[in-house]
Amino acid sequence: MADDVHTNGAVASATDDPLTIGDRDFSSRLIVGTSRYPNPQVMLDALEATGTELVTVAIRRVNVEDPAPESHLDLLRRGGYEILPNTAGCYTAREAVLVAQLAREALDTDLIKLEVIGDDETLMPDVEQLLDAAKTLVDDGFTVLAYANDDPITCRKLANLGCAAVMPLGSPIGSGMGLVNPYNLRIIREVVEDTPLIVDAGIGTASDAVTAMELGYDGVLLNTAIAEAQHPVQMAHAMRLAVESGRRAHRAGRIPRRLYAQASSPTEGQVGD
Amino acid sequence: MSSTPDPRIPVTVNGEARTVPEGYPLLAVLKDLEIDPAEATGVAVAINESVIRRQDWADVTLAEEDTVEIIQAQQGG
Repeated sequence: MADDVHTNGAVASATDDPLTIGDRDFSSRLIVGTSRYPNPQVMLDALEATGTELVTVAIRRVNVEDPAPESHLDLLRRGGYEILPNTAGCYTAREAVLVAQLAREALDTDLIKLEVIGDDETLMPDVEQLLDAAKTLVDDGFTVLAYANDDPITCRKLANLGCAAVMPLGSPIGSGMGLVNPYNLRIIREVVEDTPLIVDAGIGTASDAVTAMELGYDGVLLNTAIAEAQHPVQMAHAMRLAVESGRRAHRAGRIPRRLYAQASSPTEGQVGD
Repeated sequence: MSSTPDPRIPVTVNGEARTVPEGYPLLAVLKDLEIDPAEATGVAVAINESVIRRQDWADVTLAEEDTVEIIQAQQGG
């Protein structure tokens, strides 16, 4: 990264600290959605400002009434982004598996962001269907990034099934509520040691992304926080800095919290002693 | 539809019931949706929940009660 601060050679650049998902390395730890931007140019400018290398797309039926909808896939590919298709909108394992297989054929990728939701009010995952779909897709050779509840048991099961990344929600999709249960996210980090963990959903602003990374998460996936910000490109840049900052703080190791003050200036030789 | 002399069969395309002539080619269904197989990117097809590889599109014709799904990658989160 060109803007790295190298004060004494000890500050690693982002490229020395890649996010590894399956057999792919990404220098950016931010995965970004492509929906809800004011227009395609703002989307492209915002994606560039995030520094992301991996962007999500949805798989939808071609509209029989209004065929040949405008696709932005070519724009994304020209931008050099790797495409992460999702199974958003699927309610059953069977639907999600079919959508994943269609996505693999349409986009020539084994990557899949697996979402199997229980209802469209909460968009919370249906755990039973999610685990079923994850097993089928891992067995079928997919690199599965699984959107999950912030439940340590479910997340551990997804990791044990062989998912390439487990992605617990911070709060409901598109809610911008941030990390509503950071304690669960901490436990998940402790029980899922060897599989990349990504906070997916609920990020509202930069501090949420910093917190996720400080908790030891490997990355952040977001969409609405940037796309619906008043100034999407500025928020995109803020998110990039937040993820990098949180990652560095995590690696640096924070000081323990103390209840009482501890003077940072020397206590010896104070005037009046 | 009763005026057409060709025998027609019921199929479902992207959730919509349609009738098509017997032996209707998949490529014709795609053409109906203004999809040019040579140009279209990010498109895939399944019939009865089995994905049809792109190289096989030209060889496939529809049978009675087939359920066809034709999808495209779109912006999403």
